[in-house]
Amino acid sequence: MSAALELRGVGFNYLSRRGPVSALVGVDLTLAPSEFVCLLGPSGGGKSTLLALAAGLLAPTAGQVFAHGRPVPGPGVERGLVLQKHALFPWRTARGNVEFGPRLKGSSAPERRRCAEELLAAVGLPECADRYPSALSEGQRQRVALARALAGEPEILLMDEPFASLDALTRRQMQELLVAVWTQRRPSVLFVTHDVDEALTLGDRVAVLSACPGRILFTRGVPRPRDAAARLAPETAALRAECLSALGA
Amino acid sequence: MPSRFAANDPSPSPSESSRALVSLGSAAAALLVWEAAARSGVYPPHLFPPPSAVLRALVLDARSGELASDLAASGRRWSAGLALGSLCGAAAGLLTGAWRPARLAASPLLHFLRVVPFMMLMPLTLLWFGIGEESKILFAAWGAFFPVWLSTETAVFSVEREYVWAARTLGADGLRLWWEVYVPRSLPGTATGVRLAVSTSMFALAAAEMVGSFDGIAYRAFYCYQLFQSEKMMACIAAVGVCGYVADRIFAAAVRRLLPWQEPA
Amino acid sequence: MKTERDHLFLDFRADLHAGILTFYKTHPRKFALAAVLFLSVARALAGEKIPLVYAVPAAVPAALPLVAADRGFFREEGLDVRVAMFSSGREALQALLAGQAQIQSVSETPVVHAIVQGNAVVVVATVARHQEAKLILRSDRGILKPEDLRGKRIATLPGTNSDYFMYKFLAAHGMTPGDLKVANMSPPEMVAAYADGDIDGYFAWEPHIQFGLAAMPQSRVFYPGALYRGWMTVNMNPAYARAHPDTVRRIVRALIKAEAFIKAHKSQSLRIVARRLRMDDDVLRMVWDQNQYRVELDASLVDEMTEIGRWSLKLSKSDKPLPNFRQFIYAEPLRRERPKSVSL
Repeated sequence: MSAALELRGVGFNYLSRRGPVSALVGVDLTLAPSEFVCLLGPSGGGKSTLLALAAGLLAPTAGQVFAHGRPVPGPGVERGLVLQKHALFPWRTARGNVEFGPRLKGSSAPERRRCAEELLAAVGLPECADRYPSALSEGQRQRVALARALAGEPEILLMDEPFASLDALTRRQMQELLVAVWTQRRPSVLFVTHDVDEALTLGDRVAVLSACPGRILFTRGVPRPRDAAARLAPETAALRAECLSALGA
Repeated sequence: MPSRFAANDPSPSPSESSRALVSLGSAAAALLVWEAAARSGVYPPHLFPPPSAVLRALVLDARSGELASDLAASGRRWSAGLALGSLCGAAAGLLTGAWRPARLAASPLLHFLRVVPFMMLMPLTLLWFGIGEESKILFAAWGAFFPVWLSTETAVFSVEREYVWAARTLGADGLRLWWEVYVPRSLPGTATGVRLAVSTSMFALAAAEMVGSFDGIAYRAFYCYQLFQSEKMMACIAAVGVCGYVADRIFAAAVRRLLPWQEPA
Repeated sequence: MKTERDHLFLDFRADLHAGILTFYKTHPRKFALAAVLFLSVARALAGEKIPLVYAVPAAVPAALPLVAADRGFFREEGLDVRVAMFSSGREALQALLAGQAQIQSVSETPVVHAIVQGNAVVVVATVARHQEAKLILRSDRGILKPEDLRGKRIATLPGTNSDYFMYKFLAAHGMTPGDLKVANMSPPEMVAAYADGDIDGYFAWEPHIQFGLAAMPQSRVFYPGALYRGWMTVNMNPAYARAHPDTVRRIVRALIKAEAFIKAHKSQSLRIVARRLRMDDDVLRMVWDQNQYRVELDASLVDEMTEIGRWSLKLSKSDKPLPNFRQFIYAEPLRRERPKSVSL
């Protein structure tokens, strides 16, 4: 079975004010179907760039990005995206945001409405459908952003530090929600974060990206089950230490 | 507070009415100071008429119907010019804001034209377009164009990358992306520009009416100036000010209706 | 400081200099105050040169003040007069009313408007009789006689003598401005619009009529004739004039000198005025003889002003009373100078 997402020798250069910059060099990363992979990396590294390449929003300057063995031509609903900030369109209601993708596809109005309501219920916001993002809390907005990305029934979910700006309690709730949704729908998830604990809580695998120019330093499987006891297990602690030191903490 | 009011009491809360009182009070105080200064004899009354005389002239004008016809003549030109200028400005702003070649080609020229004072353009406009309605509407449109263009360009230029990325991953591209992301995101910026354009188009129109016109409120003000009728001239100015204020309030209310997602200021 | 010193006081002067320098160094502020006081007293005592601003419109009938300034006649009378040119008499009058000018010249119509609306202004003399307000019309576009003006587009500048002439002209042919499409424009723009075909004719003063004729040689020009007599007036603030009758007399004397000069040296006067007005010598020559350059106060001036005053009140739909224009003419200085010029 081919990988849901594969980055083969991906490199990305761009021109900044100071001259050419290599954001990523020789990145090899594979996501199996329904696999949950957390990408760890220092702030300012190439994490977001990697995600944009995976989504097809940017074209790599070296190497290729494949989805199910075929090269990725550009962005699409099969690779859903959830971002940290400016996630929702402020000029549309929560329902309008979730219906965005289906509307572009040409879904009929009742069909869209049903889908939106179902998804909003799945993320726990059935009563917020007609509210504008400015009237929602941060946590609620990220829920709607997740619902919007899921509306396209994506095979791959790309998430760029989506919970970084939430308070600790809300973050926990969001992590639980994400796991619940993932358990139900089983897309592949590439979850970018700088928080080691979050990575170890959520992911099946953890990949660590070095600082600029970014390359994958190593990937590790995360031991399961992920309960309170496992969290204190020595393997987890060792992995945690390894990740922290790789990040230069 | 809630206990003092019945469930469906339409009267404003005390803080709202006291706010209105403060605004009205300061305006009334200013008028009183003006009246006292004008009547004190320090300035000749015909160069500096008191508000009572201005109000009297205003009432006389209104009763004779002259005020209404002047305002109507100017109002037609102003609204047509504002609409035309705003549409062109918004379109130009969308183009130069999002498309780099357009920005490089057009922006310097537009910035150059933007700062030329209206009065300096009058002779040219008269020469090319004459003194008919079209030339006045064009001039008002010229006045409206630049604030709307500049604010739209800035708004489009600063559309956050995240919105564009999110929309693209949801299947939007090309013209669809434009319509679904760039236009809505820059509408508040355009609205601010139109709010400014409401007054700049009036300035331009007034310049046109004073230099060559058959009618209009600025024409009337100039006419009164020529005949040394200061109270009537100030009455015209006051009428324009009131209309401008009302237009602004209406516009602000319209923006609140049309762009309901804005966070309340 | 024009004080002269004798050689004998050289030592005293040296000591004085040293003393002043010390004072300047030790008490700079007091020194400055003392210097200002000293200078103003010295200036007041030094001479009778009173600085005055004379606001003049760029029009041919204002030749006398222009020649007087150019030939130094004001200076001969001990007056330091600076001529400020304005593109229209209305603006020159505004300068007088706002206190920026002490003397001013304009045709009589704007003065009447100003007086009717309650402004304080007084006429001390007239310096020309003119026929400068005219109508110029296209001879095509179906305008064969004045009555054909109905519905046509005509330009005028409200409040001016040519505007008044418009009303008189139309009334003489049984029309009112409501029968035409009347636009307000300033004369230079009128010429451009006329040449473009935007308007069918306009009421203005020279040289703008000449310019229009040059642009469209087949135009017809109508003179005011008996309908309107124009005077170029000399005006001042009443309080100032009555407080300084001597100054008014000197101004009048200087203007009378200019009158004599123009009579004796026509071509030289022409050149002076052409340069000041930035007009072509030839264009000026064509209109020069249409005016009579005399310092006078004629009895018919009051009648003309009264008639214009009545029209002004009607036009402004004002309920103000009609002023007695005789009270707004200060004839004493001219009467003292040259009694035969005053026939009021």
